Order: sequence, then structure tokens, then C-alpha cells
Amino acid sequence: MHRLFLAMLLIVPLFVVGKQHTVSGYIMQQSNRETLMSAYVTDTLNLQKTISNQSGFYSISLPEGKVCLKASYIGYNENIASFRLEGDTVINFYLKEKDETIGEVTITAETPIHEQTLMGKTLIPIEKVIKTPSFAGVPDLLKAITTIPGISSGSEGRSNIYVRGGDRGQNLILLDGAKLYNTNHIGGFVSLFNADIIKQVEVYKSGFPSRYGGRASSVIDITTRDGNREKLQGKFSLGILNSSVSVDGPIGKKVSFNAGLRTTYYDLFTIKSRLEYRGSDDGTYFGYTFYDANAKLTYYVSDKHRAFVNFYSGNDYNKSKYKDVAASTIATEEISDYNIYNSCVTLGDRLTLSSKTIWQNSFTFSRYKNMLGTTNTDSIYGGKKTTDIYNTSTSIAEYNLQSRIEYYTSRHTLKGGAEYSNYHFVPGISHTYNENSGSGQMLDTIQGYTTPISSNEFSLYVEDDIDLGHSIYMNMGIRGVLFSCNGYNYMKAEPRISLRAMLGKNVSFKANYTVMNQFNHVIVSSSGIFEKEIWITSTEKIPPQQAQQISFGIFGTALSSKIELSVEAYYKRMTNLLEYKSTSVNEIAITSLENLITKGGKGDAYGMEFQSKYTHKKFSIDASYILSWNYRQFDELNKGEQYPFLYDRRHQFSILASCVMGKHYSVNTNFVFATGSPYTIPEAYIKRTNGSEYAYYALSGINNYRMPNYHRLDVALVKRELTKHGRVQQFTLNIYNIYARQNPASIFFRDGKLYQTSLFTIVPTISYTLEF
Amino acid sequence: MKERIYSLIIAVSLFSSCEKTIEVDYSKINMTDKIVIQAYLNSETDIKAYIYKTLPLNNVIGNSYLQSPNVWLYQNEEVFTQLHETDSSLYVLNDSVKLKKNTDYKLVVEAEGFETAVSNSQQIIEPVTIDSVYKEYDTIRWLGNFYVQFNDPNPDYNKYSIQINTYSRYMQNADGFIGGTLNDEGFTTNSRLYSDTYKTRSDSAIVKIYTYSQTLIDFEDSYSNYEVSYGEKQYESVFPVENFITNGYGFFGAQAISTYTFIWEKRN
Repeated sequence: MHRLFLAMLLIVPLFVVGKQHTVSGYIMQQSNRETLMSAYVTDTLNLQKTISNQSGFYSISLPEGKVCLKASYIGYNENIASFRLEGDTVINFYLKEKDETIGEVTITAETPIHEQTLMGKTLIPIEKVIKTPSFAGVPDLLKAITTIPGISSGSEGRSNIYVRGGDRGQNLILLDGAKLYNTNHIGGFVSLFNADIIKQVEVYKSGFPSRYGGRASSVIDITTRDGNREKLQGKFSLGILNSSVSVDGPIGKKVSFNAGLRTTYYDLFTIKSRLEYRGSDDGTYFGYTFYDANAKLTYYVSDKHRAFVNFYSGNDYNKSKYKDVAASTIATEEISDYNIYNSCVTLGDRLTLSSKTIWQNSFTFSRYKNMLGTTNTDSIYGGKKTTDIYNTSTSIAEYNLQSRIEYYTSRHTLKGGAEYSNYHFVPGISHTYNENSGSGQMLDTIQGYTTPISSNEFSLYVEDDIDLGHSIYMNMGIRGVLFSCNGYNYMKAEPRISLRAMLGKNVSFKANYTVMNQFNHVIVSSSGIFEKEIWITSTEKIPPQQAQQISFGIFGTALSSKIELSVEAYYKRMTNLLEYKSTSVNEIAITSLENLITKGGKGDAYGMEFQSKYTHKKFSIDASYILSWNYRQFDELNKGEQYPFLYDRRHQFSILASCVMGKHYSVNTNFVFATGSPYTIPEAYIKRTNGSEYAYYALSGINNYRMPNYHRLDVALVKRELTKHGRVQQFTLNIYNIYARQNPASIFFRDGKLYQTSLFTIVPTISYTLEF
Repeated sequence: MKERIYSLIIAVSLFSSCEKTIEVDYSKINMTDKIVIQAYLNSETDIKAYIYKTLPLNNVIGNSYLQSPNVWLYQNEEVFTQLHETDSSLYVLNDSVKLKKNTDYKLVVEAEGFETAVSNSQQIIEPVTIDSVYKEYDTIRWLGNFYVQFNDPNPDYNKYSIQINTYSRYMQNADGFIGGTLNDEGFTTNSRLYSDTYKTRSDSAIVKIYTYSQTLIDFEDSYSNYEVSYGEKQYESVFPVENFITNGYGFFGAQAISTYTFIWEKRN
């Protein structure tokens, strides 16, 4: 099969007709010279067109002679260049935004769906993230992504992502090319992406190009803004949960920057509590804070060469203290520290070698660390104090090198490259220490290694976006991966193919088949609202997960692409999945997680997704319906029988609507409905009447029952206006779950009855944003 | 004041959780009463089998006593003997019966109105040999470290339950209990060492080490996981208690007990 793909790549001929020259360049916004992705460049005389890539670069081969190039992007005025083509030419287009009023931001749209070769790809402009009503009024990228059919958020209010039956750890999340291993603040209720610094997001749930690898279910590729090259600008947002500030602008003529800071300020209001706690013999104190810091510098070496460095650092910190003076004069103080660190750095370089060739290189470093520390101080026997310290942590660090070449011809866009990752895992270290005796021990609680585990992943890939003629387009590629850990190697080949055939001017048929392997796995343990994601590597005992997916569908547009309609069917088969077979991962005395998880699991996910969109200047509506089935099977669980996955929801329906009212006001609404999640309830109660060691509910199978259906409506009212100083300010009233639906967050069984707990029955919040 | 307002907003807005009762459609749940077997094979002359029935979900405080079951012990897949009831729901061997080592035993329970329940098979297991018991004092923290050294003849099993009861002639309130479980994964020899700390001054101790068959370990582990996960929202799925009985619930496990009495020569 793999050989066939390789052969097709080599055999497909390059059709070149007549004497041709290449026109290439970048498409940028006029106001700030930020590049525009997925903008069209059309030769209106020869009726040929191309689309700008992720960095705004386009390249089109045209016959010698007169050409009339039109650059267009929805929400921007067209720009036309008419000239006689006599050789390779470079033309940069600067597009001006159409609507310069202070009214609602126009949502920029991607390429009409029937014209995209890749199926399963969605481009999310950051404006959509900002407009989507969200929990606590915080614009949340991951929650906006869950409005895409086939992607769900899992638990109430959280920002986890589950794509077409995949687990939350199967999503490749890239921030300017650097992988992120944890994307949550406050246990998942807020994602760590500061919307103010993001330019755009590409989401793939199928049809993965071969340049992406390492995760089984999805790719979320986030690009941050390079920064305004014309003037200094910024934005300040004040919300109930957090506030943020971002600034971007030029530094001289060749450098631009973009920086953002977001933080919660709960701790500021608890200073008094902290002081009171210090001055008393007993009491409790709870503090929580998180922050995100982003910074990006872009150096425009020349028109053909740019380099950038991007930095992200985020931290969640929770400190809780408890102390009590009992009558027995034994004083006890317990201090808990909970820390989650995320950071990444990208050094990137993009060089236009010729009008047809681009060379990109990057070095990234990513790190995730989760630490929990507890300090217990006891005063015993005559006031002598003894302190016991217990720390546990889990972490992963990755060094990644990538190099890629893109080559454009009239009918081909070839991309090929290499990627190398070096991982350092410390899955679970616990450290106990007694301050007085000096005794302590260090124990690896997860995989039984006494030093960090190192693994290496090397990949080579090639892909081609081919115009086969007769309105048939194909994206075909293959990725080969060599993974090595402790002398044990895995070698995998991942063929990817996507096909698009135009059935009419505005209707196309698409199909794709992809294989993805995942060598790093996440397992999640919880403590209260906090979740600990533990990354473990594939070893001889833990083989890589694999997902094979086939999908196909019909895509069409009408009314000049104002209406988009699509129906898509998919089947995904996942193998070598992992699952807990024990709750003991929260305990200290674990010697090896490999014995606590069950391996070799299989997952089957299939369904159909229907989507319709209508976009008008003042009104837009996006409705989707998903019919899906999602199952798991492990030999060691549920007697080896297949059972519904936790987020198996038979029906899902959502409507996202936006309406501009007058010059200053707009309303955004989001309604979601989903069949209740599967849940496990018993079939009998076991207890000996005259006493017994064991009393329990007998469970006939995992996830054998369903929670009540989930639905809610969120509404955001936005007022956007100019201040007397000519700056744009925005007030937002956001109401999450406006009709206070008691949706099930969890269910438990007691005395023959089911009890349901609900979170967030109605959450009204306000926020203020000032652009300067 | 600001703190209170802020906390109030946060509390009302973010953590406005509630609890309500929802109806269960019992017609979707199989609620046929079944036989429960919880049985231990302790030695060549000792089987303790608790036999009763499940309770329906809508009457969990009902009576689980199973009327007049026939409890058969099978030896190598053939009927060997019948157990009799000595206490409510407790069935044991007749005095004259002696079981063999390295032989498979299983229980079959018949009762009117119930499907016949069949247990898993078990063999008698060997107890560990306790080699020595000693203690040391940590004079800084005034804690005793208690050590039990023993030899494990069961390389297939990897868990022990250790119970240490301590006694003092001079301090009536000093009697204490310590103990726990010990996993023996990773050991290359049969020699094991268990240690624990305690604060009680004592001059004698009785040490008991329980060795469990794999069935019993699996059942106990699954029960422990069930207790932690059931009704707790932090676990995405509830871990079911493992079942080893065909047409019923429960387990047939084997265990062995070793006892060691230790007296200190002088009071510490």
C-alpha cells in the first residue's frame, strides 16, 4: 500500500503547457502588513488561480503575455495588478479592510469549502474566537474550536478537546510550530491561549497533510500575529476572571514585535486573608493565580527572508494553608502548593529561495511540568517541631528541529521535509523528606525509571497538492517515522491521501484516507477540580497508538459563497489505546504505571456530520448536526466486551448566530444540544444482611446508561464604540447558560435513586476592552 | 469589602452548582436476583463460604438471605462434598473432610428460583515462613521501627497483608495495631522485609501475615478501585468490582495465614 503511494507521487507527471513564468509574493493587510493566509490570487484573463499559504505566500505559473491578477480576501477590498508577463515576477499585494467603521468586526472566511482540497480542515479566524460566547466571558480558542462539527469539549465548562471519538491527548496542538502538552488553566475551565495575540488557527480533524504527525486524532495549528509594522497598537481587556494587555508594533524598519500578558487577580483580593492567617493560630487560606506571557519578535531580513522568535510561558499556582491549635498543644499546619508550568520557544526562519521555492526551518523547545507539594508541620512533645515534606511532579520536555521545502508549479505544490524530536520524560517522581531527621527518599511512581526517560522521534515526509485536470485535485503524501526509546525502535509509515472532484461549479465531492501514529501518550489523574496530565513514552511494553481514518462527503456553496452546505461521513479505527485499570495512580506507593494501565485497546468511531452556514454583512448563522457512534474495547475491561466511550453522544446539534444591530451593538448566541453522555450505573446491590466485608453495587458493564440530554444557550451582547479620545472600546455582557439548564456534570447512585450534580446553571459576566 | 464582593461574584458565577434527583428507568436495567458467593479456601480443613443473594436497586435495605441453597464443593471438576450452614449465610466443610494440595476446587450453588452459580477454581496456597521480628527506635521522633523478615514460597502472588498487634504489660492502654500490605514486585529472591513505624511502647507482639491467591488480590484491588471511583466525579469511569462467579456475583479466593509471637527480653 505504502509503495503504491510512493509510486503515484513519482509517476504523476508535471503538466507544463507553453512558455510559462511564475508570479509570486506575499498578500498582506495594508493597515499593519500582517500576512493573509488563504487569500485568492486570480488571473482574470487566463482564469487560473491560487491560494496563499500559511505565511501569506503565493506562487502562480502563467503563460507569457498579458495578465490581470486580482488578489482577494473576504472582508477586504480587492487589489488588481495588470501587466505583461515576460519573466518571473514578484508582486506583493496590500489589501485594505472593507469596513472601517467601529461596528462589529467582519469575520474573515476561509476558502469556500467546495474549493478546498483538504477535507476536515477548518480555518478559524481569531474574530470568531472573540465573538463566540464563552464561559465567564473569556474568549476561549479551544471552546470556539468545539463549535466545529465532530469536535466536542467533554465535561461541562472545560476546554478539553475530543475529536471524532479520540482521546484528549490525541490532539497535536502547535503554537507557532511548538507543541503544547497542556492547554488548561484552572483545571480546564480556561484555555491558555490569549486571543489577543493570535492571528489564525487551522484545525484538522481528518485529511491530515503529511507534514503533521505524532498525534492520532487532530491537529490544531495556531499562528500568532507578527505585529504591526506600521504603528504601535495595543489592547487592554478587563474581565471578571482575568485581564489581559497586548501591545504590538514596529521596532525600526526591519523588526516588529507582538507581546501579551494575561493574568487573574484573585490573589490581590486575598491579601487581607493572608495577613490574618499569618497572625492567628488557626484558620485556612486559599490562593489561586494564573498567567500567560507571550512575546514574538519578527525580523524582516529582506523581502525574501524573515526570521522570528516566539516565546510563551504560563503558570497556574494554587496555595492552600490550614492550621489548627488543638487543646493538646499539638499544632498542625498543612501547606499545599500546586503548580503547573507550560512554556515553549520557537526560533523560525523562512526564506524565499525563488519565486517557486520556499525554505522553512525551525527549532522549538516545549516543556510541561505539574507539581504538587505538601508540607506538614507537627509540634510534638514539648514544642519540638517536625516537618514532613512530600512533593510529586510529572514533566515532559521536547527539543524539536524541523526543515521544510515548498515548491510551487502550475499544477503542483510539493512540500517535503524532515523533523527530529528529542523527548525527556519524568512521568512521576515523588520525593518525601523529613526535615529533622534529614531522611528522605526519591521514588519514580510511574514507569520505574530512576533517571528521566529519553526518547527520539525522526520523521521524513513529502506531500503534493496536485491539479490532475478535469477539476480533480489531490493531496497525497507519506510520512515515515522512526521512534526509539531505551534501545527499542518502532518504524512506521503513514500514507495520507485527499481527493477533491468538482461535481459542478459550486459542488464538490471529497474523500480522504489517513494513518496517524502516536508515540507519546497522556493519562489523566484528578484531584478535585485539578487534573494532572501525565505524559508517558512508548516503550517496549507500551506500543504506539494508531488511528486510521477514512472520510468522504459532498460540499457546496450558493449565493456567491454566502451559503455553505456540507455533509461528511467518517470511520475511524484506533488501536493500542491506553486506559486505567486502577485508581491507584493517585497513591504514593506505586512502582510502575505500566502495571496500572491496560493496553491494546481498540476504538471505533463513525458517523455523519451536517453543516450549513450563512454569512451576510450584518448577520451570520452556522448550524451543524452530528450523528455519531463511538466505542472502546479492552481485553481487561468490561469482560473484554465493547462499551460506549465516555463522550459517545448519538446526536449533537449546535447553532452559532451573530447579528449586528445598528452602528454600535451586536448580539452573538450559541445554542448546543447533545445526547447525554454514557455513564455506569449498577444492576444490583450486594450486601449481606447480617454483616459483610464487602458492600457494593454490581455493575453489569462500563457506561451502560446515559445521562440526561445536555443543552444550553449562551448569549453575548456587545457594545463597540469610540471614546472621546478616538479609541475603540468594547463592553460585553456574556451570559452562559441563559435559561439556567441544570445539565448533568456527574451522576451518582444512592439508595435506589440517581443523583445529578450540575455546574454553572447561569453565569453572567461583564468585560471591558480598550484598543489603543 | 472588595474581596467579599469579588469572592461573591466568583462564587455565584463560577461555582453555582446544584444537585437534583433524576428518575431511573429500571426497565432498561437487568434486575434479576442472583446468587452471591464470597468464599475463602483457608487450609486443608477450612473453607468459609458466605452464600446470599443480591438486593434489587429499589430495595437495597431488604433481606439478602438465600433460603436453603445446596452448596457443592467440586474437586477437579467432580462433586466432592456438600458444605453445611453453621451461621446465617455461612457454609463450611464437614469436620471429617480434608482437602488436597495442588488440586482444583470450586463451588457450585443451587437454589430454587435462581440460576445455578458456579465459582472460579482455587488451590490451597502455602503460608509464608516468618524468619524474624525485631524493632529499632528513632530517638529523635520517639518512634519505633518494626521489622518483619519472612520467606515467600509463592512467587506467583505478589501481595501480603501484615497485621501486627503489640502489647504491653506495664501500660494498659498501650496495645496497638499496625500493619499494611506489601507488594513484592521487583524482588529476585524469596526473602522479604516489611517495616513500619509506630509510637506505642510495647514489650510483645503477635504478627500475622496473610498471603492471598491472585483471585483474591484481583477482587480486593477492584473493590478498592470501585470504592475510590464510585460517586466521585474526578474519575471519568467507575471501576467495577471484578466478578468471578458465573450466573452470580462474588469470588472464591484462597489465603494462608502465618502467625509469629514475639516477646522483647526487656522493656524499652
